[in-house]
Amino acid sequence: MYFRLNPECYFIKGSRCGAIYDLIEGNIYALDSEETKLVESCEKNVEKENKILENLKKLCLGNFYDKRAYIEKLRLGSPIEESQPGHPPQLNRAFLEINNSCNRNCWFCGYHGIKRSWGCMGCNKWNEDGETLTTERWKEIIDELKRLDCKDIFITGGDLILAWDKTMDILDYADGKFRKIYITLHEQSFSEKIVKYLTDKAQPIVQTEHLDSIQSEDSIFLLTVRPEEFKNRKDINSKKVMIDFVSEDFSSLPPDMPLTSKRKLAKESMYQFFHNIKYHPCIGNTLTISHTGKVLPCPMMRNHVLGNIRDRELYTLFENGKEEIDKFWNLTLDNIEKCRDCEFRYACNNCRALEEKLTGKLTGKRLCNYEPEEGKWL
Amino acid sequence: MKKIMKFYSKSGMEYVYDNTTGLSFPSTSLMERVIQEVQGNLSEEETVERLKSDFNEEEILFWYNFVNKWSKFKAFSSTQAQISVEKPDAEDVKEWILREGLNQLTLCATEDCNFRCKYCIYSDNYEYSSGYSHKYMDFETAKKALDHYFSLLEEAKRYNPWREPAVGFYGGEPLLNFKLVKRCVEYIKKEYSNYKILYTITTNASLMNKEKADFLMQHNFGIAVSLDGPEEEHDRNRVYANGKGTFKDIMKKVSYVMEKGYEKISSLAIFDWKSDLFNLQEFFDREDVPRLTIISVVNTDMGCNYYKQFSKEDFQCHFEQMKKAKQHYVEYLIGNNLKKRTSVFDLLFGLSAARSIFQTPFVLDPSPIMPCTSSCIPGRKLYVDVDGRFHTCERINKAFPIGDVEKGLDFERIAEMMGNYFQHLDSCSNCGVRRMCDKCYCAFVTDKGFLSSSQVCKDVEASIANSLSDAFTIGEINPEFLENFSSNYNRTLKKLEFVED
Ligand code: SF4
Ligand code: SF4
Ligand code: SF4
Ligand code: SF4
Repeated sequence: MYFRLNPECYFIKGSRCGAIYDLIEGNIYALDSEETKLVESCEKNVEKENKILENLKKLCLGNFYDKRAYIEKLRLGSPIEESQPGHPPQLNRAFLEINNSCNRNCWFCGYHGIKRSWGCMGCNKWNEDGETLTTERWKEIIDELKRLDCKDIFITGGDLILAWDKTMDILDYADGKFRKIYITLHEQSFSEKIVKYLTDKAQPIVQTEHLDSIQSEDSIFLLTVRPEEFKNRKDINSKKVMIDFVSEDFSSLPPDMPLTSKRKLAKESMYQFFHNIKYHPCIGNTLTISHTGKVLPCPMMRNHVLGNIRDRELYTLFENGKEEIDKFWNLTLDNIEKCRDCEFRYACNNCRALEEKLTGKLTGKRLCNYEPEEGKWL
Repeated sequence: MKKIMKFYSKSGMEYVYDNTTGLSFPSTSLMERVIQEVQGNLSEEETVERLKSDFNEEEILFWYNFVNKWSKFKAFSSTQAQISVEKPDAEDVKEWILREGLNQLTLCATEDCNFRCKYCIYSDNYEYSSGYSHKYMDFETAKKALDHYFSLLEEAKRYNPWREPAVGFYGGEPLLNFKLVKRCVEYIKKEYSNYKILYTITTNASLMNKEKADFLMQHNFGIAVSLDGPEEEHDRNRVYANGKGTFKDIMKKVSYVMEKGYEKISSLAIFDWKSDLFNLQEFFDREDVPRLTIISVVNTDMGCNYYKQFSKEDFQCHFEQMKKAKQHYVEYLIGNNLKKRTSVFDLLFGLSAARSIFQTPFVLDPSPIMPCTSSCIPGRKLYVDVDGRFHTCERINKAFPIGDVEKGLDFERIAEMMGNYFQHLDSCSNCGVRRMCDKCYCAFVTDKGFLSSSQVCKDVEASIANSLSDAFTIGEINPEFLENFSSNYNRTLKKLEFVED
């Protein structure tokens, strides 16, 4: 009998072990090295029968056939269409830092050069000179993004309350032009009135250190925590929370942290899987426009400036800088040291900005307890 | 009620094609039974209860879970969504064209030709297309077409800055109007030097000389030469007006370019029921012949009468030969991978297998402005006839212009044409192979309007089942080959700067 994985199940091989990604259920099954060898040869249409394979069948991941079968794998869209040259850029998200002033002095602010694992979702003020773009220019940029078919935008600052008229003006202008608009606010800038105004317009992301201090059903929370305090936090699983670990150097991390342990692997959606095969899971298809008009791959990568669009349209950057953009967008984990040997590389999240800061290399890797060579979590 | 479409590979493996996702799955009689039960909303226990006298319980459970899993994508459901035949909004069409279209402007340099190929679209064999003429495009017309194309590109680069625009010359025989080709290139170089343009020309090569060849090579033209095979094959159809064969002349002219080692020259071949495929296979392997990129059988669209000359025996003979060639190729694929130089059989069997699988858009909903069929949205590229009217492509007849060099591309007219076309897709909502549909406008046009899909589409399911069966036969033998084919082939085309339809 020939055992073959189902169309929705992809076998991904690491240097020692492999994994099966079930793209419909979103589950990932880690295989040991023996199972890996077995499944690998089955996928090459070699005849096999075995207890392990029967178990895979029970999990509805594959089945036995009495002849060689061709399994047409689940895909999205037409692979031939997409490989045509001259395809338009697939811009999924853009961060718009519409101001850079703030009267607070949070210890975790990007201003202090401290490292954040999800700093892009929060606000930051930057120690960068230059005049902020005008509201008019931001509106043009919104039209430019719309023409480039950008899907989601993230409006962020600084403290947007300090420029609330401008923010409302820009938000009203962007309303209805994108699939989703997110806006980041510090918890103290967040109020009933604002919630009301934002309803149906934008999804608030509230940056906070204490979850209990605010009540809002519809918001997403970005909780900033020091890694060493994480274990003692009891409030975390209660709401829609993203955890932003903040630390000077992330040197001594407690075990079982979502940053480094098995918990870093997300339940995989098939959209994310196909994205991750071609692009970096996070900075792929993303751009950031800083308050002075600098275009960056992501809000936390301040040193990689792709250009400035204060006086020129955004598309010109694509036109002349495809290679530079692709350098970041196409940085799949196949290009990251360690990850390229790992069977979880298409399901793993990865803050490139943070890793680069920690290793000094765009393709470096520090935060992970998995050893692909051994197939073990430490 | 949606029928389940089954097909079998050569080895007898059974598959079922699902029209909602576009995927085909290995299947068994149990699977079909389970599908019925799931459609009847039976629970896991009930299904097992119902089927366990005939089937193994573990097996029932597997298929139950499998069918359920895939029901998330509505796979195996008994109904399929109706298509919308509303006329699309001209603004949406425009936005689509600015983002995804305008890939190539093709100028018909002349309708005149020094050949009289027997299957030519201008020959008397095609009822719905006009005959040869001695019309040439003048530079004024070409200039206006170029100006309009570049003004559209100027706007469109804000929607797709990564487009690689191309300008092509077509005919008749474009080298009869080489002056125009040259002037256009010079003009673009002077006025639009900020664009990197890929040039292409489709020619019979008989008028190529050193001067022309040098010019084309110097400007990096993708040169597509119509060449049907060795002398006896080629000269059967491709002849001068006086009936004399053209093969010897062409090979002589092409040799200058080939000897220079110029990479971007390729052959386009056409065959019919009399062609000896093994002969062609051998011929296009020769190093002194431009590599083959496209081979197709004489077109049957647009009221074609070409095939009337053949007898039943001719067809039978051809059919047998195709079978033999396919068999030969499939055997060759055991343990062999794609060669650098694509062969006739690669294109006829390998590419078509890869296409029949991977051209299908899987799972995702089709574009809202083109709900089904493989027709492109007019404006994806532009074809300009000698009089300066724009058309959807070089293959469609002149009954559906979509603008002209004076007034420009007419988005409203495109929307109307599409709306009109959709009205004729009367059998598509219930078509069992809709996701795999390979029909385009050319299959529907007459000199007056469109035929309806119920008139055009006879036996489509059987024919798709056939090509799937071929494709899966190859996939069973050499899955990697199949999966790499489309990307390798696209890379080859790209190297030749060949812009495909
Ligand atoms: S509120 Fe935001 S921008 Fe202001 S100091 Fe705190 S982190 Fe920085
Ligand atoms: S970080 Fe890299 S090595 Fe670690 S689990 Fe993720 S992909 Fe694997
Ligand atoms: S790499 Fe991604 S997660 Fe990290 S800061 Fe940039 S955008 Fe955010
Ligand atoms: S094959 Fe014919 S009936 Fe089916 S979708 Fe295509 S045009 Fe419509």
